[in-house]
Amino acid sequence: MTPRVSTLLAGIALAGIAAAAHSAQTTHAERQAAAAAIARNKAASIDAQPRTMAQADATQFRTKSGGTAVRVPTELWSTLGVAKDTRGATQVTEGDGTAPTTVQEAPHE
Amino acid sequence: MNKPLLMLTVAIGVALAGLASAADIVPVNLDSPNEGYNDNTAAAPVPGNPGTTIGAQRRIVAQFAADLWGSVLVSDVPVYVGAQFNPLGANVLGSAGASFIFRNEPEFPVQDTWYSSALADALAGRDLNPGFTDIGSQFSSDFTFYYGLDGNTPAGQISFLDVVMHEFGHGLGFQNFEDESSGKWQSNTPDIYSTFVFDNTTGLFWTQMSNPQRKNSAINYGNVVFTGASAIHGASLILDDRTSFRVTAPAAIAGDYAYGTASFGPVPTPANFSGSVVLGTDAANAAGPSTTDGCSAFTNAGAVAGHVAIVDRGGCAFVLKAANAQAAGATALIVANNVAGSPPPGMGGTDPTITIAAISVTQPDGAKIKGASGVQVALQVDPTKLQGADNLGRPRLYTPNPVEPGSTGSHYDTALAPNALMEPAINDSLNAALNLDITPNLLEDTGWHLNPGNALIGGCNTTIDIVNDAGLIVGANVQATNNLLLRTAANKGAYVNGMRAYRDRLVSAGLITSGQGNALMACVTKV
Repeated sequence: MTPRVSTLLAGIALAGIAAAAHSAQTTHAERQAAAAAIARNKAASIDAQPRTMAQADATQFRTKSGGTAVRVPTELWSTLGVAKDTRGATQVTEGDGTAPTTVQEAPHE
Repeated sequence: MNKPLLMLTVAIGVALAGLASAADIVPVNLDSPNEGYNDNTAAAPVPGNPGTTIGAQRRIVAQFAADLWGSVLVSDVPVYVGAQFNPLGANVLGSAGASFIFRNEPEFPVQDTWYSSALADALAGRDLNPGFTDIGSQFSSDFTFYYGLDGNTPAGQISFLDVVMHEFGHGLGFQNFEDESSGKWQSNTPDIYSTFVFDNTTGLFWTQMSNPQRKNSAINYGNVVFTGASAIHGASLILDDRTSFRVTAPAAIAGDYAYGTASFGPVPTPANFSGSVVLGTDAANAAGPSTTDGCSAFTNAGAVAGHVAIVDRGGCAFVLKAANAQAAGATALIVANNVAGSPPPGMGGTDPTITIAAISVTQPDGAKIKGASGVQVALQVDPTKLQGADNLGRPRLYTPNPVEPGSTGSHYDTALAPNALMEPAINDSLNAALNLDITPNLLEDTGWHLNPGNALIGGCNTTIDIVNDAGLIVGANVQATNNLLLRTAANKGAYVNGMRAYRDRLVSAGLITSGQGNALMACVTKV
């Protein structure tokens, strides 16, 4: 390939990349409209997440581009807990999404 | 390569860098009218948050957190975060995580490996699952958070911003997709986060282990690290020199031991924590059922005075044990755990009269110390090693024993100092509005691109870094604050005055230079 042809092709590639990147952007209004649509979609709600890994397996699906996806079970999410000691000081801990929260740093015995 | 082509190649690279855009993180309000994010209960504005209802203040914090993370990360695909307040029961603040995970998209750098939805979209350059959230988050409507954005959380309260930033961090990819109690991957597929998780004892990455091996590694406290290059680099910039608790005699038990710290008394240092160890004894009574729990006045004060006391956990508050040791003349205190497990417990409580340093050790380590004679201990600082990292500088992950599903593995270890946002407990020393420590570094290792530029206001360059290698996000804070004031200021004059006062605070705190402050205001006046 001659340098001139290489330069030309690179220039075309740059223009294409710029156009593609531009088209990937969305406006604030479009994002808000998409958010509103998601909020109306019951299937997109937090309540629709599977609870266990086994239940999540059943949600597996193929994407348009040939990949695979799974809905994440809430048992793999993190849950923040809180406890207060006898003096009212707050202690925050994190456990799983299903078990009762335990106090990690016990304020007293 | 010929010169013109080289120059054009460079130009393409520069153009690509310029084209990469900050991520748009969009909270999706899933609450019903008059509850949660829509709670119309009147509220007085708090520092940095002008909302006049509880719901408005919550929405402002959620959007501020979205703008902070969105400034730091690069993506051309919006990230939608389901956001909801619910009554979650006593002692539960909230929960969050990725809504979906993806594998085997052609753009993914590692195949047969799960990627969190937001990262998957960023890598693919398209929304892989339109119409659904990328992250789910819900928080307790029963708990009173601090909704201020100034980083000055009042004692006893919890910053909602810190909590949201922490949980968004999980949702963005600071998370594995494994059941650590069994070692099983979700759908038998490893995740990109876990490809960096390494066990120093076995010399294996988690992705190289069988399920039983991974189950065992998940409780190998202190020996599991994150090996990503960016996280290691960030750790070298921010972590303190390592302080070790060392038994120096007798030789049979000499060595370094894991220890926990206390929320009361002075910080343990080599200057205030060394000497011979004496078991403190007291009466077995209503204050505490054993003679070694330190719950009442020591009966061997003469032997304890001038030495490091050791007592057992249990029976009474940690601060009472410390007070009794101090009254007996002890120079420091060791509390031996009374139950199995690692790490040694952090010791809560407050008592401003405590002047001796206190640490905790595990039950077996405590038994070793109590069972030996002539024990000498000291705290020693090693400037060649990092606190909370292994000897190669790789930050440790939280792998307590027993396992804590949903928490194990997906956090930095509590041994890190200073405290990190993604440790398993939120604490008062955090200020996620300005400092994300080595959280962005870890996300970068998993495939995220961090915004390499400066804060922009209406396209105008403020010259203030969005995020630096040490996780300071002053530029991100500038953009989030600018967005907040643009949304909430009554008019342009109020906006400019608000930004000027904000600029003055940043300069006064030494977070930006006066030159950057001038550049910031030059941008503000163009809006």
